Amino acid sequence: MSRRKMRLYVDWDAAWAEDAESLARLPEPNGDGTGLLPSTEEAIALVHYVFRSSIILDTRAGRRELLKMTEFSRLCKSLAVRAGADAGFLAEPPLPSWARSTVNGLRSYLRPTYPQVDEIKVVATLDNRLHVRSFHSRHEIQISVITRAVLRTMNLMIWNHVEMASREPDPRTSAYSGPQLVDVFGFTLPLYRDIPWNQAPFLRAAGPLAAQQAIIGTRIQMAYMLAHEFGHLLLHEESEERQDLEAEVDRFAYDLILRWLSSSGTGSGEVWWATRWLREHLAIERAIVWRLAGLTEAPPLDQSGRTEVLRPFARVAAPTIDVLVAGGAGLRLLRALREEVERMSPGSLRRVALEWHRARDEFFSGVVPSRIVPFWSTVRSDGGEDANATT
Amino acid sequence: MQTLRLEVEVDRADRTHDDAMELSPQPGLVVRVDSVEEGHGFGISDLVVVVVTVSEDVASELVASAIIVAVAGVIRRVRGRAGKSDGSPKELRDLVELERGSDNTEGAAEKKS
Repeated sequence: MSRRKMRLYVDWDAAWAEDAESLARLPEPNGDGTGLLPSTEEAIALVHYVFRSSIILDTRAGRRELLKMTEFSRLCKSLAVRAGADAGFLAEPPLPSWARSTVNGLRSYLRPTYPQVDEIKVVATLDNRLHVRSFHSRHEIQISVITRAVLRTMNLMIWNHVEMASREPDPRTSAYSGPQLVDVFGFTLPLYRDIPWNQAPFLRAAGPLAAQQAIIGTRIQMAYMLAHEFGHLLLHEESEERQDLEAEVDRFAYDLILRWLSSSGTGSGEVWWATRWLREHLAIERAIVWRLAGLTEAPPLDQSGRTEVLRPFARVAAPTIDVLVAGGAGLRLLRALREEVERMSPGSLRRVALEWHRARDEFFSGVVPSRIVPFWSTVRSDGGEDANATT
Repeated sequence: MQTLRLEVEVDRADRTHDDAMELSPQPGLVVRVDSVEEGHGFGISDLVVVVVTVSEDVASELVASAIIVAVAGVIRRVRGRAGKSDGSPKELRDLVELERGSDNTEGAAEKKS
């Protein structure tokens, strides 16, 4: 009798695959990392979360997968605590796996025309914000490692819906009617509230397609942002300010990532939706922040026509009809989410944030949270079980 | 007088921020933008360091309002020595209150010395 296939997916892009082994060889610090400076505890929580995001559970995963996941999460915690004891890691964390391969790939395409590209240093940070930034004065690009984890979560949420919508009705999941703001909020709450990242829930995948597409889309989005910042450093002087500057850098970035992706044989057809989704993700995140800051107006939308820049490149990438349909459906969902935020008052959005904060407190005190959404999944770092394990 | 140092993450949509901005809306309160993160971000925030010099009789609510004006943008998060807040006036006021009451503030250190 054959064993059932494990319902979990590996995201090889996610963490520091190359560094995990050397971290594991470091002596284990005393204790579990608690009692350290708050900033060190935060960093450990973030590193734990990022390591842990290398595995994505399927929504239909059972007890066997949960046990595996719990074991894996403990290992990740142990690596994170070791990283926290390493001052060098905290001060300048190594580039995560996805960033190393992306930076090397983009550099190889830029080098013939821009040999100075090798003088640009790309560094990772443990900042708790969505952050990819270039610094002319020191020829440097910074990326926060949490950016990729957040974008993958948001991409997965949309792809889950696309995958669910394409299935026959399933009595266990037919109540799911699409992502709601409350879902997005729950999974990204540490961006807004004082919650350590390793206490945020993890999003499960509705199936292998959703997991795979979310990973591909995130790879493209991160590559696009890096290429964009390379463009700023290679094409312009620091003080240069022109209206068409961003569009020029966008063109540079699209051209660069399409050449890179074409050569690797993956994902060039997905460029159009991944980059359009990226703008919507950032717009949603911004709208949330504006409401939390008490503002009732909507943030200004980008009216510079930058999305038009993508058109010729999208044609060259030649997405399939399936990709166009699915990507378009996702784009509509993201717009609906943004409009949902914009319709909410600052007070009502704050209430949602507080409900999620309370649900997290309940979960970690052993109470079944009052708010559980489909795809909720978390594994406690102390080995406790998923609150939604049996549903 | 107490001196508080806050790291403010700001969405500066119009990017017309005056890096050297200093506000003194009333006696006993000075809010100065000490530094603004350099560089160019794909993301939508800049880190701004704000130094507040405040006397004991100034309400924390006024301090929070002055910070919001001084940074000239939408505040995403604020971090002090004693805690963190989001950009809402209420949470920012609570953080200011916490920073003023904390023994860890620069003001407290100055007083002790």
